[in-house]
Amino acid sequence: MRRARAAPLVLAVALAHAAWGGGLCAAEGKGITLTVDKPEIRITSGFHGDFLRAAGTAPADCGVILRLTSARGGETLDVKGKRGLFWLTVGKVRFEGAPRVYMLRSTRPVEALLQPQEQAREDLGIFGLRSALRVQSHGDSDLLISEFLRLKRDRGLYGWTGGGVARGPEGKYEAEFSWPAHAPSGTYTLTAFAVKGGGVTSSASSTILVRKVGLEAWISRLGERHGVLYGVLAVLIALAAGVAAGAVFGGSFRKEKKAGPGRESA
Amino acid sequence: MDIFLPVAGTSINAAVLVGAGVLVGFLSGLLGVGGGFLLTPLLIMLGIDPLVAAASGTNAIVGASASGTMAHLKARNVDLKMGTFMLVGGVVGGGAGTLLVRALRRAGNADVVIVLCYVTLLAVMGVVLFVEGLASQVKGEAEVRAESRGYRLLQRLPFSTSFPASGVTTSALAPVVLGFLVGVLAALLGVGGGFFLIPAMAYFLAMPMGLVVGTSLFQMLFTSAAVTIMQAAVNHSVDAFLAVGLLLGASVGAQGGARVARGLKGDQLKVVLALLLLALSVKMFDDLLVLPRHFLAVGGGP
Repeated sequence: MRRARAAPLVLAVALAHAAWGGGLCAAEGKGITLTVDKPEIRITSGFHGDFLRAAGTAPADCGVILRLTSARGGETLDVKGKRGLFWLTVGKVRFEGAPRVYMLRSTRPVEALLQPQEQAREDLGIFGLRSALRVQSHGDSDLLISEFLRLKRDRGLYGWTGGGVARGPEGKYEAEFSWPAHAPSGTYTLTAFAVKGGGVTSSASSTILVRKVGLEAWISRLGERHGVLYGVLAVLIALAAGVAAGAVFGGSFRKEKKAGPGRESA
Repeated sequence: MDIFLPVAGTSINAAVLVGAGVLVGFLSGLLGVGGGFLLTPLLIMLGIDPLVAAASGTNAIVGASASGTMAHLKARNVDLKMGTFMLVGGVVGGGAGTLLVRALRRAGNADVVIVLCYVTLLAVMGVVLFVEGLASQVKGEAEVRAESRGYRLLQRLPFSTSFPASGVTTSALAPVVLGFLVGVLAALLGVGGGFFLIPAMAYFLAMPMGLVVGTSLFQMLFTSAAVTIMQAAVNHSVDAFLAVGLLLGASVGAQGGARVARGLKGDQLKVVLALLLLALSVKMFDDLLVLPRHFLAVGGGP
């Protein structure tokens, strides 16, 4: 009896939601599609960053958000504090749930497309970023997380405001990500979200592998796996370069000494 | 042209990197300082991780001090006997300094001690050298050397030994003690210690400035090589590309510096070094007082 009374209410809520727009994209049966111009970014000796171009189609009445990020992990940073007159490193703090890179592109600012709760749920925007971040510290967690996000943003690794997605005819969209040279190697995921009525209606993902190749990869591997050997090689190379320079310049140096006035001596 | 640094994990303009090497190499050749205290902040300013900056800088100093040592050896500006005595003290001091750092860290506030030590030391050495450099310009170097209280103090120690290359007779303990102190400071401050060694050798051992520079480079060559291997083995923080780029510049710079040093008199060299030390101590002190741009930083350093 109670169930029968509740049914019209559920139907009414569903209709209201549909009328507001939520779910219409999906109802049309057209999910968002995504293609990326390159599945791999190869780090060579001359690497100085790269560009990733994403494109696809999404229902014309939907907003589009693109998120480029990695799996979340931990990171330890130094904390600066004031001791008397001086600003010094006063401790370390460990952040968990931090992606290596977090970049967004969208048709409109993310706050205009998604409510804070939806951002947190879908891991999109500032609320999405913050929701998974945890701090292992006795200090003010909110303040530390804000500082962490500011540091990452200033280093060009995080961005959460969006913008930069252009729409074309027949539901087409496209956007470009600038990949910084100092972003760590690893596996990243680019996800495209179709958004309507404050919620995500469909999504599509593509994986991007960022890896060192050739000499870069060989040196990295040697440094990580055979530290002592790598250190000895580094010293030998440095010595060879130093001695070679000494040999090249040494001859003229000696001649100069004979010709010029003597250095003051003991 | 940009090059990607495999261990630092970032790219850098090749000309900027080589230019930084030339600058540091020039100072290294001119003053005999390894340049670690100058190189590390310079690399951090260029966007390199502090840990990688320190370790790769040390690697580059191996090359810079090798070419500098060769240039000074040819000019007979290295007192090998004195250098070997200092090296022995330096190795023991380095071990003791490492233990001291650990103890300070456990007690907390190690940073305060380290940075204030650095600032005080640079400032005191700068002032002493500056005054001595000016005084010797007036009185002549030999007279000032005879007046050095530090030299007379260490002369009273036993095991009197002659160091013919430097033309001084002092206790064999003097260079060992000095090397020990530099070893402790190097471990404590995370630098090669040349900036301290040079003025200390001039003041306490009364060595002529030309020999001081060459001898300290000789000692630094071994210290930096050992530190590079340890950093590579323990912290995996030596970037060979970064070091080679710096070396290209530093090797040339060091030769230029050594040539200019020949043209300068010892007391003029003292004044140049004094001004550099004073400027650095003022900068470091100022850094402590200024509100940092970020309250979080990638870890590294001592």
